[in-house]
Amino acid sequence: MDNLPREKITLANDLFFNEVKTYLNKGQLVTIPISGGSMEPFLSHGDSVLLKPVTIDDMKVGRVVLGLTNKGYMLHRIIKIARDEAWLAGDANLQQIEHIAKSDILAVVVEANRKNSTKDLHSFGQLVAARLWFLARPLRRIWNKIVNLIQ
Amino acid sequence: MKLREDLTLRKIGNDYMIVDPGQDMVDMSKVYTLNETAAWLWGQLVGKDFNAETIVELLLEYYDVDKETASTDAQNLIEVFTKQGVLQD
Repeated sequence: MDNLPREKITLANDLFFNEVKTYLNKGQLVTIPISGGSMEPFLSHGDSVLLKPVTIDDMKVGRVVLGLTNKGYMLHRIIKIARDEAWLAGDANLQQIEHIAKSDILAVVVEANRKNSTKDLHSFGQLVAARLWFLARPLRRIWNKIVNLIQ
Repeated sequence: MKLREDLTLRKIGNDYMIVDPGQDMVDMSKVYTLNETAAWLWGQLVGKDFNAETIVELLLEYYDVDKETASTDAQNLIEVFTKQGVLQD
């Protein structure tokens, strides 16, 4: 009976988020850990975010949302709203954009937590910074190439 | 000691997980998983006042283990439960 309860667990994306979805559907707020670095520099691996069920008012460019993409559930930022569609992108990603139906957005971030500090990802300053960071994608791609050449 | 009554054991895929579903808020950043035996024990112990001896008896009754192994396992389990804060007095 070794290895009884494990300190840290990794569940398959869909299993974990199905569980999250159950609580969101009941109208509860859910805290989830951030795994991976696709939202750097705004969210880092090991941070956590408090999610609330999404409403129409949350469907705005700049909001960080939990959406079901064709690669599973992802916590990414809305970069464009079309008629029935939302475009999501990870802040750290240089190319990739996920096109999903608005109805596949489950939740929106209320606040982010890093160690003992709390951050509002949707404050004016954060939204401006995130937009500039997104618009700088072409420059970031060039920078990325330079860094890769040097290494 | 008792298991905290506000926690629930959920089977998710092949894992057993203890979730802390608050009234309005669920913290999925601090969840614990249990293996099959531990999950079974959790089910047996829930709502009861127990000690290491209770766990040893359960293990001896349902599993093919000797008393020494059962005692060690029981001690380990209580240690982990204590460390993770899933027990109440």
